[in-house]
Amino acid sequence: MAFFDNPAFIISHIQNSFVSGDDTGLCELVIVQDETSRRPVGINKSAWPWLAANAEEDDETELAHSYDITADSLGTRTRPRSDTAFKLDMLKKDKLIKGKVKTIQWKENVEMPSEEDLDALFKKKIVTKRKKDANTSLLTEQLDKFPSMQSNPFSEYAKFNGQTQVGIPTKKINIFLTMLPEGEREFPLSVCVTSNAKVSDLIGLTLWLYSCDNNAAFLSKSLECYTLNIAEDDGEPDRDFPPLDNRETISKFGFGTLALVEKVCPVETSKSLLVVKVAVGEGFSMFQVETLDIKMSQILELVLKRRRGMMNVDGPCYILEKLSEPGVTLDMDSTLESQGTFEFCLHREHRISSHQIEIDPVQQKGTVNKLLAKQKAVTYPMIIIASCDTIDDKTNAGRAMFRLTYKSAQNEFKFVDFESDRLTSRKIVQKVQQILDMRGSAVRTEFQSNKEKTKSKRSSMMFS
Amino acid sequence: MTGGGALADQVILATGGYDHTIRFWQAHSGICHRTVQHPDSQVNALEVTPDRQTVAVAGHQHIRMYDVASGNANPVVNYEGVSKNVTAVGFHEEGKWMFTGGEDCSARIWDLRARNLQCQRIFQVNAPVSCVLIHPNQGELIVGDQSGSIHFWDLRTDHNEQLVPEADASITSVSVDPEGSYLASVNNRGNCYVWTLSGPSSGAAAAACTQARPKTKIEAHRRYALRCRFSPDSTLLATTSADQTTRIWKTADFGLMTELKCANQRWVWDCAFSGDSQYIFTASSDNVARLWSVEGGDVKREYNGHQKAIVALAFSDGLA
Repeated sequence: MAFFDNPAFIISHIQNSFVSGDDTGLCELVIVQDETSRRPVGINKSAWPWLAANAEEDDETELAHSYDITADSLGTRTRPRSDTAFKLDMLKKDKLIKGKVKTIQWKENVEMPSEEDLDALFKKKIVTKRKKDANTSLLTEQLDKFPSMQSNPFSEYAKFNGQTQVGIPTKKINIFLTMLPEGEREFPLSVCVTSNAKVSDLIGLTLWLYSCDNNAAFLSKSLECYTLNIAEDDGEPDRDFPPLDNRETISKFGFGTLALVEKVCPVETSKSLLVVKVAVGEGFSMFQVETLDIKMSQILELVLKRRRGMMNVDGPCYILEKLSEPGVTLDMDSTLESQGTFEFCLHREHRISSHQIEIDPVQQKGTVNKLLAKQKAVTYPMIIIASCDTIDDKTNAGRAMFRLTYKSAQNEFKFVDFESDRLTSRKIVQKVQQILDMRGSAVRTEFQSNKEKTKSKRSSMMFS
Repeated sequence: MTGGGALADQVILATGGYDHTIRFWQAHSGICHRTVQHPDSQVNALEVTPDRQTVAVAGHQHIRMYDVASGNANPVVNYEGVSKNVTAVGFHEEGKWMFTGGEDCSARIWDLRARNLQCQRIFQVNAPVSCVLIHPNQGELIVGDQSGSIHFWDLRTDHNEQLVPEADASITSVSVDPEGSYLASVNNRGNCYVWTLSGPSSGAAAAACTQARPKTKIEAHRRYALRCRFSPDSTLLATTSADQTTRIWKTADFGLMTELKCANQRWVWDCAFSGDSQYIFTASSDNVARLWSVEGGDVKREYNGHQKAIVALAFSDGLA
């Protein structure tokens, strides 16, 4: 017991002893947290001026305020040894090994061996033909007994098995498997693992060892569902301590007993989860599909089922586009796999037929289109359409506007403006005009005659 | 030291390569039951001794003997005094002596009877030796070198003969069938040459050197051929190659019987038949050794565990 009246030093020393002596690393966490949140108390700068001076330095060092222990040595936990001592050690080891091994040097023979020797050693024998049934094979017999290769899903961790390795450091740990049924979990699995393995490798090795001897169908294939915890000698995992970090090498820990615990996996193994996201109007639908082979047409059906309101008996066509490539319609027969993405956008196909015009406006991201009064799908029966004209050709933006004039229910001519890229708008205007020309409609003629009238009115006004 | 008696109930499979370890496998299950460190040197060749107690490992400037059955991490004997890589190792069937070949352009005989090495012999050639094997008559060594020559060294008379199937095409491997009727060699151009051997059938002619008559040439592979081996029943010849396949030829007509290939395999460095010639092991630089069915050409077992390429394989079957 030390007799020392500097409380700060004693506190610091005690803290250090906890931190360096604790295998679990928990003290480290607690004490470091504690230290960073408050200043060391009780330093009377006038009484111990050297301490005050040192205190500034210490603030720079990571954890310890002890003067013996520096931050470096805390990491390696052993005093750094001199080079010579290390070299001597290695030489000693080598000598020990060499002592066990018989070494025979090649010796050049000056003279030829005697005739007797030659006869004894190098006499030729007559080679006889092999008898047919002399070729028996133990291997074939063994293979017949064990017809199929043991497909142990954890076989990649078999290489960490220390039992089969000779000459490299290993650690022996008893691991209790807490996920086993009542009768089995009391008995630990004795695992010998190579020291360079990480905690996650040890978990894999334990599962492999278990799968070798037992039916392990119930074990989850993914290592993420398991953690290793510090355990009591009877196998009960100690819940007060957090599980061992999977990335740490097990040579750091000195435990003889650990418990393998199955934790609730928040997400089922992501590989089997295929979620397709389809943006519809303002919202989106997400649903899970089983396989990548599903056709786009099936996905379309699923979306429409979800959004019943969009189903129209007359059947406006819906199309799917990739979210990343707007304007490119996807082939309905292609599979999900070929698309390379899980995010899509649903649109009504703009259809212009001699019967009607269907337009489903695309919602512009972030911009409010003042010209479009309402963002909703509309259908105009062709019979009321009077005209379709381009009104604004914004050459720089590559966009164009066109106006659809129609006769409303109130017998008035109304128009509605649309904006689209130049090509599309030109196509639309062209198509509508073609249809209107082919189908003579009462509305069109009325509209046109009205135009004439206003035109002539104007011109007449001018002259008068 | 007699062959076959002790441990005939054991199947020994060992592999080695660039990762400085030698792994012993349980052949029927694919499990590695023992790994031995082979520090400071790659493994060039592996051979099980006739008494099946040890495995000889040819490395850089040494040959180390490891115990098969015990858990001893260290070699039991270490043969030194050779410069450069030892590329081949083998034994007299009664364990009287060991032979090696190396990049120092020599083939050597090491006396195993006593530790005082009375009967050392050395045979010098003009190029690095890539392969050495013992004729089934136990009295001749066949040595292949990188200049493309195959030498017959009669150990009793010290007489030697030379064959050059293809000038300047480095010989990578030679094989003689267990009945002593054929000699096959493969080279770095992928070609396989076969000779018929006139084995001495009567006592008087037993002293004479074996004569070789060219039989056929097989354009076995489009890239380097690495290994050739006759099957124990002398009906098949296997050739392995850098073209990632192993081809099995029928000795009846030297036509192709099966091609063993699989997606992940890379260069196939070594191969070994099972005792009844129905299965064959291969070692590849994709770090995996495989067991194949000769008839079906499909993989039966895989041996996973090496961290780097496997270039050598040793197999000794048990008696059923």
